[in-house]
Amino acid sequence: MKVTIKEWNAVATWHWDIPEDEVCGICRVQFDGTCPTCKFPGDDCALVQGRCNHAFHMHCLMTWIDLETSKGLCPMCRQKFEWKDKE
Amino acid sequence: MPQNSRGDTEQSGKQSSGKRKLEEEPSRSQQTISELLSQRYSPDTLDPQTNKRSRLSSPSRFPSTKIPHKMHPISGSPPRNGAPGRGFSGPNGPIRSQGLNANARQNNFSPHTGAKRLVVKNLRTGPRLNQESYFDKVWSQLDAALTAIFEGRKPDSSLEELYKGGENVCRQERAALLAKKLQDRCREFVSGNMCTSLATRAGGSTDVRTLRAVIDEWSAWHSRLSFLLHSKEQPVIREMGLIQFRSYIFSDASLKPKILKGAYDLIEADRGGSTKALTDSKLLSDAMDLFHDLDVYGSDFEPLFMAKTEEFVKEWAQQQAAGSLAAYVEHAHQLIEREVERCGLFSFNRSTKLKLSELLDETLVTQRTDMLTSENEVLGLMRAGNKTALKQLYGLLDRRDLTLELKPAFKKYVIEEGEAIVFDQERETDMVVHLLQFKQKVDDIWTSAFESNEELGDAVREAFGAFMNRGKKMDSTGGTDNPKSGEMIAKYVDRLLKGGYKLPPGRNPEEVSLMSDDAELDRQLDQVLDLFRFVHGKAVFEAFYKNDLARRLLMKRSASNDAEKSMLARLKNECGSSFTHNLESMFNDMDIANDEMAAFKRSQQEERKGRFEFEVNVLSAASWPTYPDVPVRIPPKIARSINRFETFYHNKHTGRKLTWKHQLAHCQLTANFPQGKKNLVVSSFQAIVLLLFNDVPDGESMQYPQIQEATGLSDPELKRTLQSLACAKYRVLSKNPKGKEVNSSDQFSYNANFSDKQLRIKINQIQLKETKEETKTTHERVAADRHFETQAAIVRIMKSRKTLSHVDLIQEVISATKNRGVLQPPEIKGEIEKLIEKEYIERKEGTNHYSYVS
Repeated sequence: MKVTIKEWNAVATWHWDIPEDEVCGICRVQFDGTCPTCKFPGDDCALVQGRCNHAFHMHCLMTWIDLETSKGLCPMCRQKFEWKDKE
Repeated sequence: MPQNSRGDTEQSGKQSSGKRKLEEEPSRSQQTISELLSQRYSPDTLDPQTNKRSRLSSPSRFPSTKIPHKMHPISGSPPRNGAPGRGFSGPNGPIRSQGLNANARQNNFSPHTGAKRLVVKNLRTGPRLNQESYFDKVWSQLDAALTAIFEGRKPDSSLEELYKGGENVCRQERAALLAKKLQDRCREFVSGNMCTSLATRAGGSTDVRTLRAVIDEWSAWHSRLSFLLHSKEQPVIREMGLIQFRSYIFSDASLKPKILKGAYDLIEADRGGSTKALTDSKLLSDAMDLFHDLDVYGSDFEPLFMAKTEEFVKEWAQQQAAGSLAAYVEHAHQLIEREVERCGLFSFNRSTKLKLSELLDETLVTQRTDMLTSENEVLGLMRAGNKTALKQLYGLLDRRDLTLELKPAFKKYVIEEGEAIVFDQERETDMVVHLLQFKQKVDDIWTSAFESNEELGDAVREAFGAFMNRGKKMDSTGGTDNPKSGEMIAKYVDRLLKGGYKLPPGRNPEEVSLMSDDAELDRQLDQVLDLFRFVHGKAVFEAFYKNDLARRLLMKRSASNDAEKSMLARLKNECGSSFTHNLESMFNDMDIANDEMAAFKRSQQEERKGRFEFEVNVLSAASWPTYPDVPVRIPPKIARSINRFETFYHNKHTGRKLTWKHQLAHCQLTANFPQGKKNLVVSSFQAIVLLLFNDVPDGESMQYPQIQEATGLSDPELKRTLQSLACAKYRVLSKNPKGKEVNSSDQFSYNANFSDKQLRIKINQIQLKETKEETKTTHERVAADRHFETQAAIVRIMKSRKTLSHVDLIQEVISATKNRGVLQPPEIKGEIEKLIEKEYIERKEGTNHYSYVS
């Protein structure tokens, strides 16, 4: 018997590429979960990673950056927070 | 020729009345016509008949000239038949006297004499002669006539003669005397002759016969009275006759009870008879007329009738109550119907009707409420589906607004039957079908028998809500007590959306063919949704629906995308958008995947040549059901494609990681069998196994451990896969030794004899179906989720309230988690204990209050 593959429908799921047990440094919720204001994880509640490699829920970080006291610094390492560019 | 003279009289009377009319005319009719009338035609030439007509019907009518004499036979006939005489005597009293005077005068000049000339002479000489003797003469004549009438003969003297005699006497102002004499004469007859003859006849005969005799006598008396009526202008005479009849015949001590009893006997006979035709309905209706005429209906007949009827009905109810409820309601219904019909038929009074129906309601319904609403009996009717009896029962109770009494029984019935369906483990797969049929049946009873009574409709809803949310700890629910209904509804919808549901035997096959129809599908979805509404905890449904939807989407097994969307819209409508959010994002993921694939294919255009189609669905983990990672060795060819896609995806979305769910993948293979080429639609695992046989020479076989080694699949997965390939409907592999189950010592070889009519063969059913274990896990997961949800709810409540008593807390938790399913207090208590252990909340010493630990 000769069997050839004609069509293959694969299925995959995506996660944030971050170790599973890490949590958002601001809200202390897992990255696969949502920030406190959101209900649904995933695209609706995206993550943001800085050059310092610290990741947060985007919503959490935006709330922080909007505060004057933040002075635009990463809440974890106090470096200036800049978006990590796509490589 | 008195006729002639009479005619003249009439004519002259008419003429004068005609004049009068004409004088009034201008005000009522057109000016021109009345002018014409008065100018061209002298009143004398006017035909009385025409005038009469013009007066009675259209005053403006143009009169035609006719010779008055032609009208004699009509206008001049003795007023025996009433109409003309009455017509004149009514409105034209004064005119008539004019006419009479004219008559007296005219007789001087027109000596037309006939046989009755004597009378005229008498009349003329009357006033001049002794009035006394004249009166006596007239009276003796009348008396003789009356005797004749009473005896049923024709009076000797002509009526005309008598009439005039009476008239003249009255004119001599002796009317009172005459009336008195007449009255005496009548009374004498009624109380004397008639009464005695009736009494003697009544003496030895039955009541009915007496009644008949009385009625006969009455009708005779009545017709005799009408003789008299014409001779007098006093309508009082009729009254007098009535009163006399009443006071001498009806009030007679021996006759009265017999008459009444006779009438009631007739009714009783009617009641007793099985047929509707009354033996002597004429007699009864005559009797009713008599009672009405004599005005004794309300005073004598009705009380007797009611008293007797009450006795009858009570006894009847007593007898019937011993039988079954179905028979009772049917007979009671008939009884009421016939009683009411009888009322109408024999023109009983309205008040009797009301009293009667009140009596019937009271005796048949109110006093028998216990029996009518006895749960066992009613349940029996419902179980038997006896809609007629239920309808009649409802009708009876409705007469007294007691329909709500049916509610407990109805509810109990629905719950009982429903539970039987829900807990019928053997026919579990058809649960929804049975529920739908049952719902249909209940709705049927409700609409046709219970007139869509709102309260009873509530009862149906409550009952469905109650039994559908009952759960038992069962193996199939993974030891949780999740109700099965949610799961079964989800699976039923799945079957519908996969393009039809093979209906269980016993249902009309035509319905199946209709299933392809979109409208039919919509209808079915609506029906299921009706059931779905009764499910309190939507969590079970959601979990299963999500699983099934995922399969449908990934395996492309949806019958119609429109149907999927419309179901989603329904769910959104029913449960709100947060419920469907995940489901919607599943659809979104599918759309995104399509776009991704298009981009991927463009980027890979060159390398793709000559290769197989490779598609990937990337899912966002949170929206889809969680799938375990199943280890499997992917053929290198596939692995290469997968790697290429991963690179592509990572380039596009940084910070994302892909996890492959090979158990969800499916594929198409082309297989060359000696008997033809086939396209096989298989799961990835099946494909991986089949691909192994490419390297096995014809006629040789592979050992189970070899296959396991090569695929890296776990035992249960591999066994399942091999079973589907070698032991199911399509056997592309042969197993040695043969058998339904796969053992680890078995050998497998490729089945060279495989053949099938179709080119495309789907073998991946196995992938589509949820295994028992999966069902179990889903139930367990739902139950576990509920624990977390409950804990979360408790913490939220405590956080906002700080301290709360046990009872209040449980109340609040129940209301907060109602949407996801109803919790039992012991469950909540368990969760509270857990939270105390985890130190989220603490007990306040000595009280049954909790406080939040911050």
